[in-house]
Amino acid sequence: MHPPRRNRFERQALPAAAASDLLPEVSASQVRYEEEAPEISRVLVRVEYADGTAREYEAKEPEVTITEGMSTRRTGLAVGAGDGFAPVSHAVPTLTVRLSAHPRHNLHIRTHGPWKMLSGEAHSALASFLAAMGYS
Amino acid sequence: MTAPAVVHGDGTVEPAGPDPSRVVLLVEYPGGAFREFTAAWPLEWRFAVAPSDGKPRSEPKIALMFAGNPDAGGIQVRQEGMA
Repeated sequence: MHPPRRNRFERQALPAAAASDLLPEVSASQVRYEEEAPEISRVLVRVEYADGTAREYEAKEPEVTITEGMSTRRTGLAVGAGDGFAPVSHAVPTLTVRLSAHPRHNLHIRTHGPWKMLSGEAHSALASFLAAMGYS
Repeated sequence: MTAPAVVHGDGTVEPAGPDPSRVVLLVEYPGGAFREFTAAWPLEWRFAVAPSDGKPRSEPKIALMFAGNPDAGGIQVRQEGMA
């Protein structure tokens, strides 16, 4: 007959002096290992180009920081009071995203349509990049 | 239109392409709620992808920034199920 299997959460008996220095005893039935529910289940970044090419970057359950803001950008030129042109600036909305993929799901990259506008060198760089990411 | 400032992250080559005509960021939450940000012809565009190098805590990362174009609707926001 085999001895009873030891519960993996069971604690070994400790000398009283050592046990008093530790946290209060918790029985195995009280131990819970629950995975935190993700705050964000999926993020998809889709970048489209005028030639119909699109690239998608997908991350499931990532750590994400999204910051919405406003900043001033030069948006054109106007006839100034003198002879020349004066720059025109507007407050424009900005979006900043910092994303860290979940190790279990990784980052998925997809390209749709031909990337016609890439030069040969850029295309090679893209191929190297995709190979480094594990895509071929 | 500002030329795309493509950042190269940690030795990764993200080839500089043309200006994007549209950038969409979709954020989905558990339960089906989502927020979707769309910018047509963004005034400014920065993007970097850093791959994992196999070491602990080195999962792939993305850094993205874009500025809405007032002449193309700025940044449109569509959302459902959000409080």
